[in-house]
Amino acid sequence: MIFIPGFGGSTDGGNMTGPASSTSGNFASFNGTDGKTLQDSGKSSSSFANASHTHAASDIASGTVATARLGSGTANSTTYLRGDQTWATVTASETVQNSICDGRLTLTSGTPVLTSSVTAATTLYFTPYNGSKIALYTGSVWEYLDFSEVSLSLSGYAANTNFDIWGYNNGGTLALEATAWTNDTTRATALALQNGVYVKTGATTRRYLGTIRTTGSTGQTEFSFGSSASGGGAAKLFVWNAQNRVRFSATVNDSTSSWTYTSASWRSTNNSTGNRVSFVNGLQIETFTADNSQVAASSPTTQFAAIGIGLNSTSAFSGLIGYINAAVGGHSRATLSALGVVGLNYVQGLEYAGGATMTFYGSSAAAYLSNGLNFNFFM
Amino acid sequence: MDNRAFQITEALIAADIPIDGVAVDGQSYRIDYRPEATQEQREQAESIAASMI
Repeated sequence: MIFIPGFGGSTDGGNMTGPASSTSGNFASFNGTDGKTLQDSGKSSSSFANASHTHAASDIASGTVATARLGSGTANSTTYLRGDQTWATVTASETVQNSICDGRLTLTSGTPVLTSSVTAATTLYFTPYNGSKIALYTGSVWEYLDFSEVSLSLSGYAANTNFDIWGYNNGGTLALEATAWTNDTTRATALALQNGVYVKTGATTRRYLGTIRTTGSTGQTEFSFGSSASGGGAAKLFVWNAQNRVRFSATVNDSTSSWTYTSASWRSTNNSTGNRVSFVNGLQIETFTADNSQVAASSPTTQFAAIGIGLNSTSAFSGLIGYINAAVGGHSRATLSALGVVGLNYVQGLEYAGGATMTFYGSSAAAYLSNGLNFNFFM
Repeated sequence: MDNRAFQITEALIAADIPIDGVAVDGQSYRIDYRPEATQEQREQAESIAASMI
């Protein structure tokens, strides 16, 4: 027997009856319609959800709102709350300028811009230039990496071969690696663009730094500006930078006193491939300029001579030729401005005899002569 | 200026030796023969050139 105020008891004369047992904490409810019989409702205070409430933000006047109420994900000291109510890791992708690459490929340690020829080089360096930071792709975002000069041994690298050079993050330190080309003008592994920056296809963590070429000696490369020599002191500019290119100039002189040519067809200056500037080009994005200067004369019966510049040819000129009237002789200059092909290129001094023996004079023929092939390119 | 290259060239042409040209540098010289030049003509040309250096 239980008594509920207002529902019987000694003053109302009504008796309430209930079950023989009940669950502690459960509410009682009427059983039937007689108004006197109760039962265990099977419900307790925990059976009902809290009613929703509406509060003004200003009602929160103290305490701290739990981070789980603000967004999904893990809230900690390395995450921040995004506008889509997600706790996200702070990454560098929001602030990194992926164009940053403060270095240059070079053949002399500590010298990012060579000012004198380097031959038979066996080590390639990537040296800080205008800074010491490089942006590298992790595979999902770009990150900065501070670096000091790093090097790459060319030991065992095949002769007369182009190599692409890549920079990558090797456990927090910048490292270099190389990929050989299939031939002089064909990459074995194509370049790919990642957010506008050239990287290695299939390995986007490798940033493209440039292209080099080995000489005829295994494991050696060269960056030479040309010289004066009998038959021409050929120049070999075999290091091309993908970033931070600077303008280089190479000059090749033929010191031979004089030579003749009798045929009405183009050939190499003094019949020598030493009168040549060879260079490697990683991307077809900039033009080079070249000029070929020469003095010639002949007997009165000769018609004319011409000089030119061959782009990857010893028998055909490109650009503008220079013409020399054989009757009086003199000096002339051929010029060329062009895009090289991707890979190995050369510009070759050329000559042509119009009808009879033409005599050409080298840079040692007289104190006032300085003929030769000049070449300018950003590398 | 040194005109020996021209002089040797004219001498070789006068001897009907097929050449493209001659280069002279100090006491050395080079003769650029045309493909049809025979061995006998080449030997003759070397003799002529050597006598003119």
